[in-house]
Amino acid sequence: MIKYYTFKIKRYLPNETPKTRWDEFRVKLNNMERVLDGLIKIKETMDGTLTFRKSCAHGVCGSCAMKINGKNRLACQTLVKDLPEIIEIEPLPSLPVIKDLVVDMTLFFQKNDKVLPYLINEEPPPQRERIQSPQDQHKILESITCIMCGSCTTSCPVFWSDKEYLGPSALLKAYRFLFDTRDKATEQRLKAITGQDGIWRCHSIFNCVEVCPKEIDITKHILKLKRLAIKKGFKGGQE
Amino acid sequence: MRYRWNIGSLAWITHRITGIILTFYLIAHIFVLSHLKDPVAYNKIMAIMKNPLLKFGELILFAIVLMHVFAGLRITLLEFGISTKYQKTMAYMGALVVGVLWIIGTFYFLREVL
Repeated sequence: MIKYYTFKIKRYLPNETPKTRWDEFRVKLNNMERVLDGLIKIKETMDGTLTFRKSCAHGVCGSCAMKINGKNRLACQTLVKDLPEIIEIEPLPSLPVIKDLVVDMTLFFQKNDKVLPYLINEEPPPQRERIQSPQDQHKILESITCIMCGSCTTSCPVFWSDKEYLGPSALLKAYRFLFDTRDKATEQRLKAITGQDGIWRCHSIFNCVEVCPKEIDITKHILKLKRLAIKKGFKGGQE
Repeated sequence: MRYRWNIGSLAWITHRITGIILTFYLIAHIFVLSHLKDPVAYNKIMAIMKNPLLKFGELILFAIVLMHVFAGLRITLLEFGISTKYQKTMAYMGALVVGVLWIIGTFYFLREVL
C-alpha cells in the first residue's frame, strides 16, 4: 500500500536567518518503508541540504536516533505505517544541534568515559582468554546489547535539567562492568557513579525504557546498581 | 520543548508537584496551629475553616495527599526490588486506588458537612 506522508522537519541552519525553521515535504512511501527511507528520499530528490546521520540503517549502529512524533527513536527502525500521516522530526532533545538533525554527542560520550568503560583486572591474564561462564554472561547480557544511540539519555528529564547527570546510558555501561564477574574494580566504579551526579539522581521516570530501541529495561539496571551501592556502603552525597 | 508523556513520567511529575504543594501546605498548617493558643482563638479560627471554599480545598488536599502517598509507595516498592515490569500496572492500579479512596472519602466528608 502506497501512501503520501508529510514530513515536518525542524531545520537548524547556523548560517541563515532565522536559524531555526520547520520545513514540510510530501513523500510517497509504501508500508514497508521506514522514516529513514523518507529522509533519504527527501535528501535525494527534494532538498539536498537536509542533514542527518545514518550509517548501517539496520538498527545496529545507533546513528540515526532522532525525535520522531515527540519520542526518541531510531529512524531506521520506525516504520511509517505505524505513524500518523504527519510525521514530525526533530533532533535529539537537550544536546547542542550542529545542523538540522545532527547533534553534538560529545557530552554524551564524556559521560560514558566517566564510568571507566573498560575491563579492570590486575590479576595476570591466563594462557588464553579470561573465561566467563554462560550463567555469568547471562547476568550482563541485556546491558551488552546497548548500541549507544543516545535516545535514553536525551529522553531523561533529569538530564534535560542537569547536564552534569551521568544519564541512563553511562549508568547502564557501569552496570555492564560492575556485574561482569571478570572485573575487579567494584569499589573504584561505585565511587565513580555514586557522586552527586550519579545513580541517586535517577527518579525512576522510565522515559529511557520507553525509548530504548533495543528494549533494554535501563531503570531495572539502575535500581540494581542502587542496591549494590547500598550493600557496599556507598551512600553518595559527596565525592 | 514538547515530549510525549508516558505513565511513568506522569507518575513522577504528579509525585513532584504534589510534594511541593504539600511542603507549602505543611508550613501553612503549622502556622495556623501555632495560633490555636486559647479557646477564643480556637473558635475564631475554626469559624474561618467552615468557609465552603476551604472545605472544598480540603477535598483537593485529600486528593493531593493520596496521589503523593501512592506515587511514593510505587517508587519505594521499585527501589526495594519489585520487578520493573510491573511499574505500569502499579501506576495504573495506584491511580485507580487513589480515585476509589477519594470517592469514598468524599462521600463521608460530604455526609458530615451537609
